[in-house]
Amino acid sequence: MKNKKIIRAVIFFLISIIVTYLSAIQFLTMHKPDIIIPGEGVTKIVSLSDYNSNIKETALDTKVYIMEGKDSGATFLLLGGTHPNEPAGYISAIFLLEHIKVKKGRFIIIPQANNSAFTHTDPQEASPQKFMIKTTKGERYFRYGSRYTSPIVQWPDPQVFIHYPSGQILSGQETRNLNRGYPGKPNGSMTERLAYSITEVFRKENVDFGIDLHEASLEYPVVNAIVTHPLATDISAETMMYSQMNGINFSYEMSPENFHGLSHREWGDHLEIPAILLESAHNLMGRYHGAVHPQKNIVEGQDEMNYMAGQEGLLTVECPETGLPLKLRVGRHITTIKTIANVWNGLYPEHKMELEDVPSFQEIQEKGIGEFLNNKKEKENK
Amino acid sequence: MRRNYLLIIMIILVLFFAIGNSKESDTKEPVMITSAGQSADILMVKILATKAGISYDINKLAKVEDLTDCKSLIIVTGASTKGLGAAGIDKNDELERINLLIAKAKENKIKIITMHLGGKARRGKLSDEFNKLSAENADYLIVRKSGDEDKFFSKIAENNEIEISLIEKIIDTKLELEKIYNKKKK
Repeated sequence: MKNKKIIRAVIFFLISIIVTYLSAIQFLTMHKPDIIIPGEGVTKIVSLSDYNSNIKETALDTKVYIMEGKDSGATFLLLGGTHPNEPAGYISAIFLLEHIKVKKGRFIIIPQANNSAFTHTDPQEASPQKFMIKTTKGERYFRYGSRYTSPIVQWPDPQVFIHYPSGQILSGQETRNLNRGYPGKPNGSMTERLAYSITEVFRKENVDFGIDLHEASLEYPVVNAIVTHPLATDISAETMMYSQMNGINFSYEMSPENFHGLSHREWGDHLEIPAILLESAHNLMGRYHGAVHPQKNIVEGQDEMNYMAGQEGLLTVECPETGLPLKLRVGRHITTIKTIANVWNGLYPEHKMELEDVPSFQEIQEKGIGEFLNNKKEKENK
Repeated sequence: MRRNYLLIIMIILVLFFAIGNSKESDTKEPVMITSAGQSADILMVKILATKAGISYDINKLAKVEDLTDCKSLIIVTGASTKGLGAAGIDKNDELERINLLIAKAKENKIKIITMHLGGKARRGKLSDEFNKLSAENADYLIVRKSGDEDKFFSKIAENNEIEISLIEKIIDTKLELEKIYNKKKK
């Protein structure tokens, strides 16, 4: 009898070891960087730690891709991957650096702004770890991460997060949210150092305009939206109008003056740089979505529960039965960025940002994202 | 005698058509542009008013005393919880402000143009409180069609005999403003 108990205990112990081992292997795969293949438009690749050595050799360091045109002009900075559970943000950034060119001006892209947040997922969300985009040369996988810096890198969370320098108080977990950390601190928490590093890019590269790409849940009030700092209202209002003429509708929101730490607020207030944030609608965010299927939810953009919620009038944006595929969300971001550049050029003809080879929204819908990713021989993302 | 009658009839006809064609809007500048609900749509109206060549002042929290020097009032309606929060006011504060503005405008015989440009995104329980108040008291309504799919604004216009323009795109507002303020080239 006693021997049976011992044998049972040993068996369960071995099973738990095996499960733990396999889970750990699976977890560690998220530390392997995504493969990004810069296109011909990228003229220089540097590290974010080149702008703030306090993140050198840490999980927060990330690549900065500079696309410089032959002629001088404006400098734009584009962020994707502030929240790695918002794939249209970083896939749009990767799309641009792998495909387009710059004729006039400089386009600086940080596609995976919070690199640490790509290495884990939000617990208890049944979150997938990766998704696949089909290209002409096969399948490419990208990680689906977390909203927050990894707790391995920054822990424990305080009871409350006190924003520097405003003193605003937020929930302690927000200390690991890059988009609550601006303008950052050079020697602050890891996330504050990351935010500071990005603001240093603005300063050292004399950036003229900042764009931050995001997604939001379908029930969130600010979704399919342009959020604008007051310095950017001329550009954002015209962008909204011209986008609407092209069939892309937005809701238009001012960056709240008394909500600190967000990119669109602090880039404008502290750096005096016009800044906007773009939100598209992502089915896997929020509280109405159903069972998780990475390809179905993330890439095809379908979810029966969100569709039903829409039928009940519970959503801010419609969820069609055909879904909100990634190519539609990326198409919105790409087309809007192109519109922003055109509006900018109308307002500042002496200091232009001219982009080349930017496909139309319709082309992206017809051909898909994979057609425009750099499908030349893959190189390791060094 | 017959020739005199013909001449008189012709003069009357010419005068009739001349008066008919010269009938212009009596909405005057300068304009005060304000928000009802604190949505950011007011910023688009600012750009459109500039493009239309209208002389205006803009104050998203305009009060009664701000109407002193203006001859017409544009209310851009639609609620934003972010906007209300940023302004440090709640729904009731905003409704009271709009009520007072409307009362003053009517007292001073200032024309009120209400614009709803946010489409479906600026409809719903909160927005419609501002939309109803602003629309019912307008002399003109300019509304994006996508915000009137349920005929919310059309019914208000019909019940209150208010002229309404339903536009497809926000940029069409410029044409409407040019018409209202007689900016169209002849």
